[in-house]
Parts: sequence; structure tokens; C-alpha cells
Amino acid sequence: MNYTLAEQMIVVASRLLKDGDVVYTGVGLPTMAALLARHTHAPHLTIIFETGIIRTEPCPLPQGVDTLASQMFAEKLSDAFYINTLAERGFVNVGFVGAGQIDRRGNINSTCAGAYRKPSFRFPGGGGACDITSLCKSWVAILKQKKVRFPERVDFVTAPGYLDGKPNAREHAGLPSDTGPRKVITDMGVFTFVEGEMTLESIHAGVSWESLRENTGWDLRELPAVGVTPAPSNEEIDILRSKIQIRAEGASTQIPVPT
Amino acid sequence: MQHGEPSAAIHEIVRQRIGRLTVVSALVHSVALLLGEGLIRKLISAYLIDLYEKESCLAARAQRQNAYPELEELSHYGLSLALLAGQMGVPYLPTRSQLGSDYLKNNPNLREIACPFGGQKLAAVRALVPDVGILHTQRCDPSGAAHRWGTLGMDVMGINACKKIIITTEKIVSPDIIRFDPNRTIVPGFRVAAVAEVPWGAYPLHLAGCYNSDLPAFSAACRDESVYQAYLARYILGVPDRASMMSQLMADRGPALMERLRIRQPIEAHAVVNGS
Repeated sequence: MNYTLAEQMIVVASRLLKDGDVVYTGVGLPTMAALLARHTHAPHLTIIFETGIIRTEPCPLPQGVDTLASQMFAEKLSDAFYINTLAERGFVNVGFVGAGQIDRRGNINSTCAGAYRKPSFRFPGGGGACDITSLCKSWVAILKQKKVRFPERVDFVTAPGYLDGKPNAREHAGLPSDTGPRKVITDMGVFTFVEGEMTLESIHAGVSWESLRENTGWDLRELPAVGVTPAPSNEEIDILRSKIQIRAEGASTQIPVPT
Repeated sequence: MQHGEPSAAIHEIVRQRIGRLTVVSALVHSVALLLGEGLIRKLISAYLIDLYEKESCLAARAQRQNAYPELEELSHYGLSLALLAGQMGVPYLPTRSQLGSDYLKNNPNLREIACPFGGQKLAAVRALVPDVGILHTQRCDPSGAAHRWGTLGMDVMGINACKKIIITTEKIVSPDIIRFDPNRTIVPGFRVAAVAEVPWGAYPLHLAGCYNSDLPAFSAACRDESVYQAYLARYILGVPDRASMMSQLMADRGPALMERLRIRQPIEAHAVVNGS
């Protein structure tokens, strides 16, 4: 079955979730990934959204994280304060976040490029990304890859990764121990972290190694054996299309993929 | 926060051109109008899509009027703690979120401190006590004792942190209706300075138990300067109040618009029983 790169990203993220996990997710592809996992291998997944929604039943894909459909049939409706206390107490295993930019050490910038008081480019701001990345036991960034979005070092750390990459940098900054970025999923490949550095784990089918390199702003480390990202199953694609309704914009990343 | 925002009240602020505001906002879409009209002096927030030039023309519009706001940014959890500290009347609250981030370097109201008990690093978030808070609710009584349900975002600490509170509401009801289910009361009447009954007061946002959002129409208006000018003239400056805005919308987009947005499959919870 043919699938889009957006669908590939969603499926990779979905498979990172285990049954019984508690996932704190942002809007867009991250939400789709959480819903896909709930519909497939993780029937006991708890999905939380920052406006106060805690759900164990799936819902139609919300346009923002908060809609009447994503509120309806929740297990608990609370507020942003309560949601983040769950994370700070260590009850949230996985965070899913989007990002404006992400750097070699997994630091996210969703604030601005250039000097903060005189930026050359403004993003809308971090929202809850800093809370997710500071407090969840582990987290995954999901974003489209372009060179400008993958700088060696971001101008503004909106959401902390491994900071300067030195051992225990997060703990030294005061962040909860044993937290930090686990994977980065783009429309080109999947990255893991080795010694606090983003490291290529696999390349999606149909993506060239050269274009992936060209769209990374530093000399990228690789695992000893970089594979091809496992393809989505027919069941995953069926569920994504029939129950989660991936948005039309996903079609723009459609590439022919061998089936 | 992304649910049931006081959009009718914000439109009235735009009509009256009440400017030089310090605005505290968590995902309040209508704040875009205050930005575009150059009415914000300082914005305390974690996120505003309209700062992002790719999605909105309103930041550029503020810049042209020399009215781009001073920004004070922190995370959403940070903002909820600032308001909770305000509600409590204490100077700050601590968290570990935002440590290691550049929010700490750029926001003077966030500071790294040492825990007085264990010495570990914490981010102290300074209390926010706004002069006026505006909350839209499903119903309240004439004193302002208000029921609010659905997601609460930062509503509880947001409204209770404020010195003066204005409640806009879908319906003013008898005090008995509030008192039959007092756990749902978000703020007691004695804290409320003013009440206004404004059906559809959160439109184009959704409100639990009442109506769905019509956000794509508003977002489209913020993307393009000429569309924005037309939207502003027709639905905000060109009407005296919310009821007239809704009539204008139905005239332009068909009489079924409001019925289409209204919830179609209401779910009634089991009654909460109180009594003695």
C-alpha cells in the first residue's frame, strides 16, 4: 500500500508508545500518532492534552487540541495546572512535541531566530513545549526536516534537550533526573540520542542519504548500522485514513514508496 | 485557554479602543484583534499564533502602527503558576519547568532560586495580579456566581488572581440553579464586579454544552490584511453588539450557521444529588 511521509512519521511515533503509557501530546501529527497507538497496539493508553483533557477513549482528530469532540467522553477534564502537575510529579512517561527548530543536542526553538529583543524571525512561541520537555520522563519531537529547522545550535532554547550536551547537563540545570529527548522523527528519518547528541537511526524509504545530510545543519553522527525505517502496516494506514482522517496537507509529502 | 474565551468582551474593547493594555493570555485567539489594532502595550503569554508572520498579518500590522507589544514570555505551566501565586497572594511559586531554557534569561519575572530546604535549583515564577479579569461562562446568577465546565485551561487561577472580575455568560439564571450544583461554581458572587448576559459570547471559539468552534473563518481573516479589514469592519466595528454580529454572520453565511455550530448530540450527565 502506498503511504505518505506524514503517515510514515505518525506510524513511527505511534509505535514508540507502549500499552499502558501516559502520553502528553501537542497538536497535529503528535495527536494523530497517539490516537493511532490507542486504536492499535495500546488500548490502555492515556492521552493528555494541556488544556486539561485526560482521555482513555479515542476521539476524532481535533483541529486544535481542544474541541468539543476532544473534551467529550474524557476520563477527566481539568486544567493546564493539573495536567502539568502530573508531569512534574513524574506520572507522564512520554511527551510528543512539535518544534520550530531543533538542534544537535535536541534543544527546541519555537520562539525566535536572532537576538530575542530584535529577532530576525518570530515563531508563535513555545506554549507548553517547555513543560513537556522539562518534565516528562522522555519525549519525542516530530517535525518536518529542513536545513533551517535543523541548526547546529538554536538561538533560543524554548524547550530544553540535552542543553550543551555535557554529561548530566539537564540535571545540572535542575531538571528532573532521567528525563530528556528520546527520538526525533522527521519526514526524512528517525534520530536517537547518543551521549546527548542527535544520531541518525534510520532513513525513510525513498529518502536519499544526500538530501538528509543536506537538510541537517551539522556533521551528523550515525548509528553503526543505519537501516531503512520499517514501513507502516496496511492496518495502520487503514486506521489512520478511516478513523483518524489525516488532513489533506499530508498529501503534499506524498512520494512513491515501494510496496 | 482555547475553550470558551471571552471573545464578545474583547470585541467591545476593540470598539471602545481601550488601549495601552497589559494583556495576560493563554491561547486566547481574539487577543489577535487587540494586537492588530495596536491596543496591547505588553503581552504576557506563552504562545500567540499571530506573532508568526507566516500565519497572520497582525504582528506586521502592529509594527506598522509602531504598536508591537513588549513581550514577556514563559511556558504555559509557568503562566498558570504565576496566576495561581496571584490567586494565593504569595510572591511566587516554584517549579522545575523552564530551568535550562532561555525564558529564564529573558523574562525578569522568572528567576532561578535554591530550594530553602534541600538547596536544589528551582525556577521561581513571580505572581501576576491583573487589575481586571474577564471570563465567559455557561451560566451565572445575577450576583455573578458562575458555573463553568468543560476544560478549564487557566480559568480558575486566571480569574481568581484578578482584582476585579467581569463575568460574561450565555445565560443569567436564578441563584437556585447555581446552588443546586455548587461544585461547578468557578467564582462566588462577592468576587464579581459586573455581569453581562451575552449569548454566543465565546464565538468563534467553542463552549462546552453550547456550541462548536468556527475558528477556521477567524483564522482566515487574520492571514490576509484586506480580508482582516473587511472582517473587522463588518463583524466588529460595524455592529453594536454580539447579537448583531451573529445576525450579520447569518445574513452572510446562511441562516443555518448557528444551528450548524450548536451542539447536536447533547449528553446529559447523571444528576449530581445534593440535599439533607
